[in-house]
Amino acid sequence: MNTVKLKFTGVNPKLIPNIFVDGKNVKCKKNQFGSYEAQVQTENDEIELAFSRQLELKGKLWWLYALLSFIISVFGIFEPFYDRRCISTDCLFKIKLNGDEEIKVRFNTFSSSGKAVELETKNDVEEIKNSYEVDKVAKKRWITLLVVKVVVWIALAVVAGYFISKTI
Amino acid sequence: MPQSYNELNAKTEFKNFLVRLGKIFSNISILGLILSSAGVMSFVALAFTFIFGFLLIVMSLGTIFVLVPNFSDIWLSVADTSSKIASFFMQNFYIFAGITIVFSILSFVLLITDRQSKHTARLVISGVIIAILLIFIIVALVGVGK
Repeated sequence: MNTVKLKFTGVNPKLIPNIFVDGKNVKCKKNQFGSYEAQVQTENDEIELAFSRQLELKGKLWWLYALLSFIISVFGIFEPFYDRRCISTDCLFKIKLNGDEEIKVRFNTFSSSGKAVELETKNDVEEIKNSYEVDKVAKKRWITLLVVKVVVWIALAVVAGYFISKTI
Repeated sequence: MPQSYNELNAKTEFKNFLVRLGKIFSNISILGLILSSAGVMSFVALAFTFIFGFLLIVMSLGTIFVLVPNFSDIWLSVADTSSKIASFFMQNFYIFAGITIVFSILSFVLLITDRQSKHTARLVISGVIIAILLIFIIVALVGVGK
């Protein structure tokens, strides 16, 4: 049984990424120094470590939830904005284990170019993916949503203006 | 194993929606607090209207009545409007406060259950809103009781 200690630094506390080890979501805890830690036990000699940032607009029912949010928030007045930048984290590593291991992961600041994380470990690491990328699907949906909202707001303003002019 | 780690499954998508609802309710509760306290604030504004008018008379040594012949009418009409606004908000205080507390509690519950992100500021705001409104309600009830 191998025990892998994962340490994460540079994590934005508001946007803690999803961490997967061999496809399973790993919960991490904040330590006294402000970084995050997780401990994983595995029988395998190699683990697959992945980080992701799941954007709200990537889901299958995004349109339904967006519509409900828009209505409940009184036509978007009280609605928080969806992430405009639509940057997702796409990281996948294969790490060979030699016993009890410690892997330090430093998250870089968000940018659409450059590496998303830096790994510090004595083990052999195969980097398959390691980047921040603008999610085109989410970005397209964000623009669609904005256009629809603007159209609805204009329509509402016209309707309101019509009724006000009628009453006056 | 998911096809892509960035793909959202139905459960996570629904959880994200609940968090979004929590934020919406939090925003609504902030407006609710403003509306709930508007009654008290309107009475403060009414008091200021009287004080300001009285100061104008004293500082101008009464010449304000010569400079603005209908000063007393304007002064009284402003005070009357303020009084109407204040009484509207005071009459509906329990409705505004009740709705605000419900939205604050919903927001608190929805946001505290989110394990992916922390919403410390919003949770504190919701807690403070609930506390302030409970104090307001107790004060109002005690006042009515007397």
